[in-house]
Amino acid sequence: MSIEQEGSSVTGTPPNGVKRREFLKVLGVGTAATTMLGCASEKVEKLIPYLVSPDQTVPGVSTYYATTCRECSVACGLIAETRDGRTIKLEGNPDHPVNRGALCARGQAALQGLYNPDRYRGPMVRRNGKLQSATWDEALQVFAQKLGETRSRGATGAVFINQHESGSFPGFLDTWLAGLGMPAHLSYDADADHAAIAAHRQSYGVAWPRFDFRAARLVVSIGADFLDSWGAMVPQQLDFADARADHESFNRLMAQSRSMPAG
Amino acid sequence: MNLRSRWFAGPGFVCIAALATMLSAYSGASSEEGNSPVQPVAFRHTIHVDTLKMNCLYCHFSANKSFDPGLPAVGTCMGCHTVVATGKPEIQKLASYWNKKQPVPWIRIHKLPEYVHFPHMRHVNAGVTCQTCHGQIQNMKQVYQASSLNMGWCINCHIGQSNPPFRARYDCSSCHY
Repeated sequence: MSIEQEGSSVTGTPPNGVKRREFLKVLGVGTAATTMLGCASEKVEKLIPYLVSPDQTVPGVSTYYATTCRECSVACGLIAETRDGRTIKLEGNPDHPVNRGALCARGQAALQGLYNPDRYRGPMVRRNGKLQSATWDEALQVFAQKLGETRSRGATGAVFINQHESGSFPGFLDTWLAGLGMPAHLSYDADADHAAIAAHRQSYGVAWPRFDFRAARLVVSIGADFLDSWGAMVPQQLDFADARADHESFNRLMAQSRSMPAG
Repeated sequence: MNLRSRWFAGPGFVCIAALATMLSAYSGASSEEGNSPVQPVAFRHTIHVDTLKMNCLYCHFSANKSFDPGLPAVGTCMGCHTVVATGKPEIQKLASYWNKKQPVPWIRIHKLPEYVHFPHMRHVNAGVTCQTCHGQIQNMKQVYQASSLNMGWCINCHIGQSNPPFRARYDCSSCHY
């Protein structure tokens, strides 16, 4: 660094830096401002109580609910940890026969969908080809109107599409649809492996048989990543691990186009 | 030091000092002892605790079972005040919050920095009274912060220097974890 060079090249001598008096002025004002700000009271924080406290809710203490994962059609059992009415963690339900306490990465990440900032936070109605937010009253009115129109047409050309449902809800839904003269609802699964489902139907008569890896001595898999995304992967992983632990002679033969956890 | 850095050095230093002071204040590291903000409804601990002898846990319902002492729901207040003292102006303020279905936005007085954990239940269940930390709350017409809530003040009790004496662990991870 060359003070003289730069100083002289810009202004000549004497160098035109901060004058001592100016520096002291700035320092004085700055110190005063700092003191004022530092001693000012802290940000006012509010304590917002419930209007009516839900039963069994203790602030800071978690409540656990047994529920079902909806991330794929395997429908693993979940324990959802909630605090102050908000779900904060998902874990596999140890008492559930499907996943025996285990939960895949996607199931763990289901919480991200719950709190995704881009999620729909209320009903949307398509007006002039654009989705627009609406109140529940408006949306239900549109829904009732469309249902009425469908019914008066003899319920032709209308189906109820939903994602995979478990429990008694599908039965309830179909009974309600039958009351309107509509066919049973259709489940939509973007990840469904249609080729495998068709093959299973022809070979075994069901959409997806349960593969008992625990009883297997030899597994031959061609392009089916049964430990990652093919089929009911969480129970398959558990069974596969059990089989490897139980049988020393357990073998597997894989043919695949890319590397996968099953090897 | 060239011309530019010389011009920035003084004000730069002052800015950094100001920022550090503000951050320190914001983090709650400085004590707010004596702080007594005016609350949206002038709730009287004197009447409820001293005169009526209500147990603290009636309203602060989780002080013996959670980190959080619990703040009464507006419904808890209205449990009595639907019929009790309905003519008083402060109760009418409360009722107007209730009728508008809005919670009362109480102003927080006791605040520990984010890096400190204070489990209410462990203190309450060890027999530490509310007054030990919160002062003679039953005599406060308007609640104020009676203790400094600084680390030295906490430690004083943890090493058995309080009256009556208590003893508790005072290694860092007791409170900072």
